[in-house]
Amino acid sequence: MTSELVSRWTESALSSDWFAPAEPASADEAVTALFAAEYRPLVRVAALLLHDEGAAEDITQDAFVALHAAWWRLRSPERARAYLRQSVVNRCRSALRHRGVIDRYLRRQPPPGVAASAEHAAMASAEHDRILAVVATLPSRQREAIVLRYYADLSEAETAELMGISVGSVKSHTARAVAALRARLGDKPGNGR
Amino acid sequence: MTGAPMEDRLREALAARAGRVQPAPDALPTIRGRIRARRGRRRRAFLASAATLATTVAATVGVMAVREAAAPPGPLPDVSAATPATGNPSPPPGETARLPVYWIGPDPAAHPLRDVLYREFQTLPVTTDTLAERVRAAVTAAVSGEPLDPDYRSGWPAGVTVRGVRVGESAVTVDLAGVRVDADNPAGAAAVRQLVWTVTAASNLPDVQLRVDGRQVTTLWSEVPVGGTLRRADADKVLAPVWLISPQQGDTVDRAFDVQLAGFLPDGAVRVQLRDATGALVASRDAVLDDTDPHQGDAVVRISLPDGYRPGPATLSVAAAGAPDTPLDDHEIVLPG
Repeated sequence: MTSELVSRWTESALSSDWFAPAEPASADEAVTALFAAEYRPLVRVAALLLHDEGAAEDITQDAFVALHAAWWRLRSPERARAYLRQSVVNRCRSALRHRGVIDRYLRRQPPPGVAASAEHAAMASAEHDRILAVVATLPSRQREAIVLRYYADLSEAETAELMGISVGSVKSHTARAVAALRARLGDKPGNGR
Repeated sequence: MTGAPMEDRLREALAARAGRVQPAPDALPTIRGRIRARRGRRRRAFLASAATLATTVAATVGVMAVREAAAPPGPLPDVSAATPATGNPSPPPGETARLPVYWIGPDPAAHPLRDVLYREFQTLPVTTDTLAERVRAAVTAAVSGEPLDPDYRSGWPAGVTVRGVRVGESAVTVDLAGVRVDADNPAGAAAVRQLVWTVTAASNLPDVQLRVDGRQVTTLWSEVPVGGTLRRADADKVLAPVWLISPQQGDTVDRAFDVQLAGFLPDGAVRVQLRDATGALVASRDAVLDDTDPHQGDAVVRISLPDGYRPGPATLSVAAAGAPDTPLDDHEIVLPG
């Protein structure tokens, strides 16, 4: 299962054939090429951090507009990718701080165990709903750490760099988040409330 | 999955949640528009600064009176007002919103008689800037509007209207009028799926409850159960195997444009072909739908029109790479002159 969930970030980091190093692309070309590879994964990471898809899309678009302005000093697909990730994570953090989107998200969450129905092959299983409901209540740094580690599939070092903290702090945030999930949900699917 | 470590359960839950996030199809044009608006503002700011500097220099050398040099420049026109500031602009009252609408159409891959769902984004009138109004507009289009692509259709019989929409904590309640619950509707099950996918896409909420003339109903058209809470069925059971997200039907493209695709073909290999009005092949691109989304993969391919192409109507189609002559979805678009 784990291998199926490897993020597009990892895949896109391996593919730089859109960019010819000997002939730097223009800012417009860079934005177009990076959009194809990075936009959707970035929106998804932002949505997991914010729990607000509209805001996630706005923030990711902000990051691409900012990238266009900063391209003259980046001029490298690797640096541009890192810039986009940093920009999206920082903007999500700022949005969470200032807009209270967590509260809005919590109000929107369906209660666990919605009754089955004709269409209840469902958008997400009850197990996913339970896990995500707990994730939504985690402190923001813990949530950031597990989204970057377990969805974006970044290494501890990459996560630390992106969050601006030490590798030890990433380990600590991640361990606390997983411990909180275990405490609330149990070790096996369905053990929770 | 029993006994799977918490880390794996967490990965799976996050991936499933992320898989439900469907970025807007016009994101790239929106970003480009914002970049153009920003360039315009910077250019005007530069010109204003240059004008101020020139004025100051002129005053210093005594060519211009000090009083005139001190006059501030006029206010800059706000270009950003003409360009959406965000990817999902909230329309002011009485304007329009770009909303997802699902339609039904034949499944050309395997079951010509089976109806599957296709999605379009339509610009629809809204009267207020509320979630309920956006859902109302999208559902109204789904049950009584027209798809952009003539290959698609609504599964709802003529005469159905939306009486009201109420948005709750996790569920959207849609109240319809004009539904003859005992009549026959061969496309009934697909029609309910069409409504459920449209409501959940327009609202970002997972649950739908249906009313007819203000009352709960358990069955539509004698055989389609609609009681209780309705949710989306698995994507691979109800969505078309592959579809063109953008450009949409009727769009005029640039000389170089991106084609966005979504689908879940077994090997993900697709071929995009562009043919002009004479049927001549203008461009052909192969792509592989990414498989990180358990529900629906996607791909973006760029097409640059070759020299000497024929401007005007053209057909953009997508097919499985192994059967390129059997289009699974196509859109009529316009090539620029």
